[in-house]
Amino acid sequence: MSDNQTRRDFLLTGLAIAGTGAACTSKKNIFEETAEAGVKPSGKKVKLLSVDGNIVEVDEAFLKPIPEMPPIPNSEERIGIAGRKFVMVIDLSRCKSLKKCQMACNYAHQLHPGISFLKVYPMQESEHTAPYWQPTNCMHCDEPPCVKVCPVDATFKRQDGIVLIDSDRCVGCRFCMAACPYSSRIFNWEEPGISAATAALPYSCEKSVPQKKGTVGKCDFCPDRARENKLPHCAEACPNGVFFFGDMNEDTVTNGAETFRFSELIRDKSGYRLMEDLGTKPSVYYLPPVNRNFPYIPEADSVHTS
Amino acid sequence: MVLVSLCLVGLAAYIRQLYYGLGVTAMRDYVSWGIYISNFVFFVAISLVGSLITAVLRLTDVHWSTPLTRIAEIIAVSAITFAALIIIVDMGRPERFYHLFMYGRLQSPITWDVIVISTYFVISLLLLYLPLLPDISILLQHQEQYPKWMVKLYKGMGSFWKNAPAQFAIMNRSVGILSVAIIPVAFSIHTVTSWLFATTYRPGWDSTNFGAYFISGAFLVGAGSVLVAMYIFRTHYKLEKYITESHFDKMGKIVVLLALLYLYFNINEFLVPAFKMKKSEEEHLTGLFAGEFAPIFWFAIFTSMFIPIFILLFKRGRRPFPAFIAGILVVIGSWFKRYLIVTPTLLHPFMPMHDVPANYRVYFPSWEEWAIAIGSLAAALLVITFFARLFPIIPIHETIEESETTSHASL
Amino acid sequence: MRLYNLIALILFSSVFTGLQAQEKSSVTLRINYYTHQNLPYLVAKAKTKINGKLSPVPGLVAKYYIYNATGDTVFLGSAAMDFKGESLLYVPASAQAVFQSQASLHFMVVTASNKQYDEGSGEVTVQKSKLIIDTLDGRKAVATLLVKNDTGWIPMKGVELTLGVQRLDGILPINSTATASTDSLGMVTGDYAIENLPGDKKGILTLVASIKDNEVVGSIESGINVPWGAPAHFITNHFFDRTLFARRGQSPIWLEILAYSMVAMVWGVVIYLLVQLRKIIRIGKSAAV
Repeated sequence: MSDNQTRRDFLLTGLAIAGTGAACTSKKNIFEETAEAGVKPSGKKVKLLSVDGNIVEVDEAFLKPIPEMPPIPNSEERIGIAGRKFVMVIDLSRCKSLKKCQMACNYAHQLHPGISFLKVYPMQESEHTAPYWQPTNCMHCDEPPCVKVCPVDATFKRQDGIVLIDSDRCVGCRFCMAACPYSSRIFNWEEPGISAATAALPYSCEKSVPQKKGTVGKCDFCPDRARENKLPHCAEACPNGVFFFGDMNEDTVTNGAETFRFSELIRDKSGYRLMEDLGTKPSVYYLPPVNRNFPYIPEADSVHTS
Repeated sequence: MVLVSLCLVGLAAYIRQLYYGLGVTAMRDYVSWGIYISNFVFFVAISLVGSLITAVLRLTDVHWSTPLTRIAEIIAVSAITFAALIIIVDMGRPERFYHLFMYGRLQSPITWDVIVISTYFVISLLLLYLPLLPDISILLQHQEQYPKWMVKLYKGMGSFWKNAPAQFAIMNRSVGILSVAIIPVAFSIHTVTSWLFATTYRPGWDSTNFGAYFISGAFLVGAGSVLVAMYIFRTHYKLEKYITESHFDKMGKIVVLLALLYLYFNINEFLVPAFKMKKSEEEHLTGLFAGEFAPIFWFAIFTSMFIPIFILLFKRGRRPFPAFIAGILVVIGSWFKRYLIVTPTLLHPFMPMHDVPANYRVYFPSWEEWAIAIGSLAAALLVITFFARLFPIIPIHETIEESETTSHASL
Repeated sequence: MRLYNLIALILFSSVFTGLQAQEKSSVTLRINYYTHQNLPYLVAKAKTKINGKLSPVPGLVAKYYIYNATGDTVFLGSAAMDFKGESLLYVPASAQAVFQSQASLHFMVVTASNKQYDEGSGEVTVQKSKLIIDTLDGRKAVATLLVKNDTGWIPMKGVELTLGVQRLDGILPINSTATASTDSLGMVTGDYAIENLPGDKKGILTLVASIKDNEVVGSIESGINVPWGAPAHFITNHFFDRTLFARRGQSPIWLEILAYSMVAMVWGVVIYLLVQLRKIIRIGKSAAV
């Protein structure tokens, strides 16, 4: 089988170059590993060049990064990625309300102008406590009140912790919007103001594109990006590194530039969740606004940028 | 005619809504439930009157209410039908209505609502239809008086009724069973409707009191609507002999009792959280008592409870016309009360209202919403009027039976 | 009359051409060179300036080229750009000859002009490089950076490098020194100081050396598997349980029993009554008129 041959070639070239007398541990080929991780081969093989100038033949699905993700059927989108538990940590001491996160999210999901999945709230618990900006998106709760009340299984919790919406199933009753205490959900009251090309795209729950009139929408933690080992759009767009995203099972979160162990980060910086007493068990943790990078400057008016 | 034109305007508005989407209403992300839902709750509330007058009073061996049973049942059937229709109007994707059956989730209170409302509809329809059978045969005895199409309708509906004792036996037993069965179903429809709100965390909705609060309110508005219908049919069809002043007297007393009961639940619902003034509820309660909703709130409390109690407490108030006015006040006050249950809570979310267009922060229904809501109320009244034109609004046979029993008794 | 027609024609055509000569936006193309597990690939990003802000340009097609020794371009391949104006191309086997003949690689990417945008182009020059990661006794990681020049592979000094563990979308540094520079042998050594980091089922982690956005070599990542982690642990997941927030058909047993029994009882009564109604109808039909 050509796969085995190329793997052997790969290992041999690797061994030949590692001439620094190091102790060799089990060298598992990255493609073997991907195949074992349960990624299905697409059947399309490509001939690529390695740095040494050798030709390598690989199934396209095993490449990391993958050039193009194959479309995922709705049944798989409803089940989610096995073995992961996605978590987000938002560092409030770094947020300046630049709203780059909001712009990137709105663009990536092609939302109706004026509507955002991600909102940055000016918060102040009481008169004498400090005001701060709080980026708030869907909490992807472990006991989601929105999922409990949906009558048609249009919103659902997956095994990787993400709560998604299927706009092809939603009947627009808006019970989930009434049930969500975090005001995470938006409704498409009219035909979304998107281009005809976007509206014609095949609908994907994981991408939440295109949005449909008469259905509910919300932050989806960008599972299509997670499948490609990329950060959600908001995390990537923030210039101050406010958003950390990762897998709780791996105990790691990253904002692109910095990577931390999740348990250590929350413990050291005293992370907390919103409205813990409601028992929704959110998947978004906040790091309190201490040692702030920027002073809090209130906006003149709650002008929405898009 | 007025009713038909209101319905047509409502229909036109609905077509507009279907085309442009729910954006034609004033509902937005915060007030995502508006007067369609408060209309829905109002309709479900009124529909409980069927179980009250027909079932509860019948089971407690009350006989004076017999002439009122059909009025009560038709109000119930009409109201529950339009409750279901107004919900479809409120849906963002009404063409996907079948999803509720194909993909329904048992865990959702909306699924429970669908189940109990369809059950209540069937039971109320049976409770309307079965006692109608003897009356249809009476009508058929005078068929020369009626146009051909009406005679055909009567024949299709009840020509098999031969006044046979066996038939009466079955019918009476069935009506008895229905009267017992309808009570738990009636309680559950309004309790489940209250759970659409009580299963959320929001201030004003997160209350354990909601089931009982809603049911007592439902009985009140149902009884009030019967007072109104009694008076209208009595004067319009000259039924003074059957709907007597004594009926208004007794119905009036019932309304006073129900209003006091509803007042009791209101006190529990508002005074207890006000004592604590939890942060999330503080804004909501101050808004209701003294803030932007105070005018509507006090208007609703006075017109649905205090003023009718005051009118009907006195014997002179329980005469037909004053009772009719009290009934109207109850109904109007109750409609606004339902609005106050739905909208103010939604305007006080936990998170600040931010990063949204300006029209998201306020709610005043648009003309389409008013047209559709008023259209649905008009349509419900239209159904009742049509029914009254086609069928006797007083159960003839039962009333004859009643008067014979009473005259025998007095002998 | 003729003069009038001529004037009208001139005016009309000038208006027409004026309409056609719309302002086209300019496209800024950036191309970067990456190496992952010794496989090189190119990423192109297309941006344009709208209201002074850089915004992504969707829908363009990027064509990638490599310059050969004589300065001509050799076509590598094309890739459609996604929503964010990014596209990716692995260096194909067809470029083997050009690739092997040079130590320094010069790539170019172009996008064609269309109605909205002008042509765009970007270039990048990198040295062929290899990053080898290996382990030493006592849980130490060592990375060596080799760069190709005309004589062969030689170590490169002074390049910022991170030693870490590969995670979902980032690299967790193995100790508190996040980055270090390669020494004269092109090597960076680090102690593995993470305790009980969850790996896969057998506790195997991918140890990674990573260089980000270096001017000479681009970005490189190489990894090997090491058994230095704790076995994977999975946070309790209720997806397969019967809960109130589960899928349809997965509701709690108590709810199903309660709901179905209540519905069965009430509808049982309704069906009984409908049977009774049928009896009434039958009695009526059979009774003497």
